[in-house]
Amino acid sequence: MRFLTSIFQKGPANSASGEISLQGGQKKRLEQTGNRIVMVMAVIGLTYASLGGKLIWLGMQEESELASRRIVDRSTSATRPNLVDRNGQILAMDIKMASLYAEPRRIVDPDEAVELLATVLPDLDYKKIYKWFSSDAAFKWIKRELTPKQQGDILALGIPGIGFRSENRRFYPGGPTASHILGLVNIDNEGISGIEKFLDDNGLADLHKAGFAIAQDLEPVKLTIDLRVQHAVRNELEKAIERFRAIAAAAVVIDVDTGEIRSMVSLPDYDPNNPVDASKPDRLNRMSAGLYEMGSTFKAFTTAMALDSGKIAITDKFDARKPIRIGGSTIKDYRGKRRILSVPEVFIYSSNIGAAKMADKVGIPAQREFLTRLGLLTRMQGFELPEVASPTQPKKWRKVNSITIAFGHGVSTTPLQTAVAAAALVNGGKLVRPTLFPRTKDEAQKDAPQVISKKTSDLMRYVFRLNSLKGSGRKADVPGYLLGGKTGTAEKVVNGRYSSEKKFNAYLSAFPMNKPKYVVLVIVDEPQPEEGRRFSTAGWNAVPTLGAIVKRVAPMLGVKPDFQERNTAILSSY
Amino acid sequence: MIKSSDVVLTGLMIVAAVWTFQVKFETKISARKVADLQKSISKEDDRIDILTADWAVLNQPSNLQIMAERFGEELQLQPLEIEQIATLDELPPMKVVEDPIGAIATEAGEIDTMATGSIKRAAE
Repeated sequence: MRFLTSIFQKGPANSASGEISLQGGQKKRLEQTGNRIVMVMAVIGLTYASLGGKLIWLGMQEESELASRRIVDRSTSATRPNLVDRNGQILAMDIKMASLYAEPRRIVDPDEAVELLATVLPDLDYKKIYKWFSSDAAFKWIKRELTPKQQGDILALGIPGIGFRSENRRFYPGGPTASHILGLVNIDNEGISGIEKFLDDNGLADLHKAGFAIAQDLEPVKLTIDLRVQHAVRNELEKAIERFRAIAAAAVVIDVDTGEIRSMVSLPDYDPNNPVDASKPDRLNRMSAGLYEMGSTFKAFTTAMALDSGKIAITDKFDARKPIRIGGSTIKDYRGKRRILSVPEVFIYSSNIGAAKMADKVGIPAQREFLTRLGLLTRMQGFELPEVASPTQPKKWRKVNSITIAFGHGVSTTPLQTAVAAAALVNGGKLVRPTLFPRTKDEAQKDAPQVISKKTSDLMRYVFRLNSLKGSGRKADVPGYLLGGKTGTAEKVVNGRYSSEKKFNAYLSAFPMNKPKYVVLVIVDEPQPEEGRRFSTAGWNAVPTLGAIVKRVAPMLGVKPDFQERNTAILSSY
Repeated sequence: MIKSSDVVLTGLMIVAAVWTFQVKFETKISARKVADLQKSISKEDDRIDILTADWAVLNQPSNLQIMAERFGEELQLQPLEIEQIATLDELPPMKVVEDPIGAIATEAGEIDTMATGSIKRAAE
């Protein structure tokens, strides 16, 4: 620094005293030149030093900072993360597909170009293409989404005036297997339903707008579903639809402690790779977006309510000998026992009269409060899929409403909510929010409200199991897995009246009942009696379907079979 | 009037200029190489994506089920039965046979009545 200032000081001092010191002029000039050289060298030295410094700085940079300086090309705006199942199997991914275009102005010989192209892509409309090629147009798409092999073959032809643009396309290797969960994307690769839409609504769309969604930087998104289980469930439901000639079937498998959905299938579905059917009304996700009167499966909630209220003990008895007449309608039992029934008997024989009397004893406000507490009457909050229906209930609960709701008529709710509430009945009383993203038990139970007492939950496990051993769930008893559940056969409303022809059947179950791990709910919509049989109640279709599902998926879910002998005499002593 | 220091400095300047140009040139070559490599990496990435997709399709449970049904007989495949799942300590103890050949002979009922010196006489 002192060196520089001395240079500048010398300059003006020099010119001022130039005339006085004439004899020293020669010497002065030499001195001046020497100083200038030093100055120039200093500047050059500084320049090189700064270049060297910059080099060192570049070498020290972290890679990620450099990566963020990458140029964002046009196709990145459509990049989406892979979706994988809980084991890392790919459910959805982006693949780059080449699309072929032509710039007819630059095509030299249209005849040759068409002839050559036809060797690789024989099924194009070449009359039209010949017209294009001979025209003076600037740009024409010839074919979108070619396979890599076709692209290579066309490149090898060496036709001037044609080229490729690569486009991201969403690909679902499983086809329809998990269609309702994954959802769909539109032509611009933006999510329009299912988890794809959820991702866009939760940050991905903003990333796209900012241009930061670069394929390599996007972590795959892991879901809770297990592809193997998902396939097995779907396969069994397909068989069920065929066997019982039903119009639809659906099922869900939920972990009772974490609320993780291991599988959710609704048939009929669609192929997300070619979603021409996706918007048809019968392709809705019946599990979360379908509203149904759940029928007798609701008696599980009525029983839990009765036991949890403290007003009814499990040993109490109800007179189910006579039908109840109220407001011009008669409440009867389907193949009723016509005797006095205990609480577990009301449950396993699915007595409408018994359930109505239980609800009556608890009272209308308490019943309404209990069902709301279980989340059955309000729209499901916090679930990832956008396709969620809002349950309906009567505006004013009169006695007749209370009675019919006790056995599952008069309120409509989604099957998924029913399964979630059932999980609370058997897991010790915690209402765990369902989710499609992995989480631990602690995370799940931290904010889960206690909706029924532990004691009620224990009693519910007992009546569920009893129904599987002696009641309507007999056809689903998979040895070793201690299945328990409640069937429901609801008559569907046709033109404002309950139809005895069209049924909505369900089997709500959990296993293993000594320490429940999973809730499984199967619904079968409008099943017909099987060939050579007369019945189409839930015990004949939903129950065996669920049994087949559990038999297949329980080993995959890691539930160890238990063949220990149990004293069933104690069970039936109530 | 050329001083020796001037010669040295001029020489240094020339060397520095040559060196600068060489570095610039090498950088250009490296940059082109990097661009080429990046291009081939992204091409390779795309191919990996296609193969991953292919693998995901082939490894699809629905596909495996079709395969298992088609070739099940030849490969002697059968669905798993729940009874086949057990832990080691649930298995019954293995029958230990001390004299395997003797056991086979006993089962077949072919006991040689002739006693040789190597066999202990039965206590009479």
